[in-house]
Amino acid sequence: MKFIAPILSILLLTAGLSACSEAPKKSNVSEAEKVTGRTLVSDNCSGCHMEAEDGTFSRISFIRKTPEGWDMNIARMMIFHGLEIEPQDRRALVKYLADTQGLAPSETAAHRDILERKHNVIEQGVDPDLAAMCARCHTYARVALQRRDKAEWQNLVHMHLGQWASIEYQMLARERDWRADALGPVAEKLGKLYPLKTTAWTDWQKAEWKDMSGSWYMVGHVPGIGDMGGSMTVKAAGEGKYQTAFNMTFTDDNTGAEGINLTGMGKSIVHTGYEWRGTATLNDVKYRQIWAASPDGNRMTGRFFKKDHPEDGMTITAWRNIPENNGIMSIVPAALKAGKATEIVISGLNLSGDISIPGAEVTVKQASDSRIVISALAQDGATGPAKITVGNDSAPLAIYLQVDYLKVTPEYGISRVGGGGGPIPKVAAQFEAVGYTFGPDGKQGTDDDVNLGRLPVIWQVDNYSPAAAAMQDVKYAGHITENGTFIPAVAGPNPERKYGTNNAGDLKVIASYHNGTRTLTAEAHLIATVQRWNNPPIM
Amino acid sequence: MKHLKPLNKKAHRLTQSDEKQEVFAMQTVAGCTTSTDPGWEVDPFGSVASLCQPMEADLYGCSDPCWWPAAVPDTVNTYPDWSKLENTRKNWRKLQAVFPED
Repeated sequence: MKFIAPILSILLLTAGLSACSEAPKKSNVSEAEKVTGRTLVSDNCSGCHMEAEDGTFSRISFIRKTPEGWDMNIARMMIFHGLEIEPQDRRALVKYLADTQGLAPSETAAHRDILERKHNVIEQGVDPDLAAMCARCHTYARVALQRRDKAEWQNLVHMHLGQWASIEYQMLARERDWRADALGPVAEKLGKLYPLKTTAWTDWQKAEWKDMSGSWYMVGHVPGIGDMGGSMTVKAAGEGKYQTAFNMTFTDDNTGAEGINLTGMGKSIVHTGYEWRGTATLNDVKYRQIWAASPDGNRMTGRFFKKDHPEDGMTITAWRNIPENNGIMSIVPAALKAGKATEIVISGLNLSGDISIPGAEVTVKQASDSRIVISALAQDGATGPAKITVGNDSAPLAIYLQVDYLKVTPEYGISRVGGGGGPIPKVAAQFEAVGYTFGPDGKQGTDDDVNLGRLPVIWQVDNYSPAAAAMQDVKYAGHITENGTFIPAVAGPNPERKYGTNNAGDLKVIASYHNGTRTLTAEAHLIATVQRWNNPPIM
Repeated sequence: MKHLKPLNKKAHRLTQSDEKQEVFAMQTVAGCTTSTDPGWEVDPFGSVASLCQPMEADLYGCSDPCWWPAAVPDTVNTYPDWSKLENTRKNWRKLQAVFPED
C-alpha cells in the first residue's frame, strides 16, 4: 500500500501539469461583449421580460434563433408593444443574441433556401401536422429555424391565440380542437424536434469561429442571364464586421461569351461565427448577401440579391484563396455538343496543370490560376457523361448529339403585382429552360438523363385554365421578357377587367427551343398574384 | 363520396360533373397563405380565380378579423392604425408595408 500514494500523487501531478500546459480556450464571444449585450437586453427588454436571480430573462433566454429570427422578434416588439430602439442598438442586440443564442450550421442547413430569400421554393417533406398548424400561413422554415423546449413552444401558441383569435376558426383549424392540438401533440413534437439544448449548438459554441478576412474567389449563377466569376476582398473592421470589395465578370452560359462587369464596395458582419450578412453597392445598385461559411471558415455559399428585389439575384459559392483551396469551382457551359467547337470557361482557385476532355480536342485561349478559357471540339463517338480535367482536379461535363427534351424551372412560380403608384414594388418571376438528353436508356425522366444546362429559348405566356381564359388573364397579368423574366402588371383594381378585378392571373409559361427542323417545348405554371404588406425576412 | 347522396339539383349536377380538381392547399410556393378559404395569394385549387378580387374592394372586411395575419396587417390589435382609409378601392396606393426595415 505504501507505494500507492506516491504513484497516485505522480498521476495527479501529471494530470494537473497537462491541464495547466493547455492555454484556456478563448471564448468566441468575449466577456466584454457579453456584458455589453446583457446591458442592451436589460435596458431594452427588461421592462417586460423579467430578470430572474440566475440572470435569465423571461422568454428571451429560453429561445435560440437565426439573426433574421431575432431581428423579427425586435421588429414585433416595436410594432406590437411600442418598443423604441435606436437602429445601432437593434443591430447590436441581434448580434449579441445570434452569437449567444443562435443556431449551429447543421441546424440551419436544411432551410437555407428560405433564409436566402430564394423565390419559388416549394418546401418538401414537411410533417403534415406541422404543415397544417404552421405552414398554412408561414414557411415551415420559420418554425424549423427556432429552438425551444415544449413549454416555450406552448408560449408561442398562447401568443398566437392571444394576438390572432381568428386562428381557431380558419380552415385546417375549425374542424378540430385546435387549441388542444396546438398545446398538446404539436408543442410536444416541436419540443422534441427542435429543443433548446442540442449537442450541435454546444459543439459549435466550443469550435473556433474563424476570421473571414482575406482574398476570396466567387462563382455564381444568375437565373436567365448566365454565370459569374469574380473576386471578393475582405478586410476586418473589428467586432465581427468587415469591409468588402467586389469585381465580377459575367459569362453567357449558352455561348461562353464574356458579358458585363459588376464592381463595388460593401460592408458585412458575421453572426454566430458563420452567418455572413452583407450589403454592397455594385454598379450603383444596392445588393445584399446572405451567405453561410463552412465550419472551417474557408468556403461560403449563399445568395447575392438586389436589396429592393430579393427575387433578382445569384447563387454564390466562394472559396478563400489559400493553397488548400485548389481546383475547379465551375464550368460554363457544362455541356459540349459533338462536332461543334464550343468556348468553355473554367473557374476555380490555384488552377494549374494540363487541361483535357477525353474524346475532345482542347485549345487553351486564355489561362490564369482562377479563370481558363478553352475551345473544345468533341467527336460524335464521345457522347455521354464525360469530364474535364485541369491538373489533378476534374469536373463533370456532358457531351451530346442533340437535345432530347426541355424542362422549365421552376415548375411552379409566383409573381406579384406592384407599383402603379403604390409603395409595394412588383415581384417578378424568373424562369429558365434546361435541356436534357434521354441518356443511355433512351427514356425521358429516368435517372440517367443528362442535364445540358440552360438553353436559349423563345418565351410565351398563355392562360392556364378555361377560367383564366374567360378572365383574359394573359392580356392583363403581365409579360415575359426574352430572358424568361415575367414582369407582372401594376397593382390596384383594373376597371377594364370584369368586376374591376386585380391584374392577377393563372398562367402557363411556355419555352420553345428551335433546333434545325425540330422544335421542343416545355411548360411551367405561374401564379401572378397580389402583393403582400407584411414582408419580414423569413416569410 | 359513395356515402353521400345528392338531394337537390345543384348537388346532382356536381356528381355528374366531369370536372375534378385536386385540392392542393399545402402544395404551393413557400410562404403563401393558401388555406384560409380562400388564401391570400392562391386559392385551394392552386389558382387565383377563387380569390376575393379586387382585394381592395373589401380589404378591411377581411383584415379586421385578421384573416391573413402573415400577409395582410390585421387591424384588430396588431396594426390598429394600418393606413386608415375611407375607401381602399380608391386610396389603395396609401397602404404601407408594415415590417420595420433596419
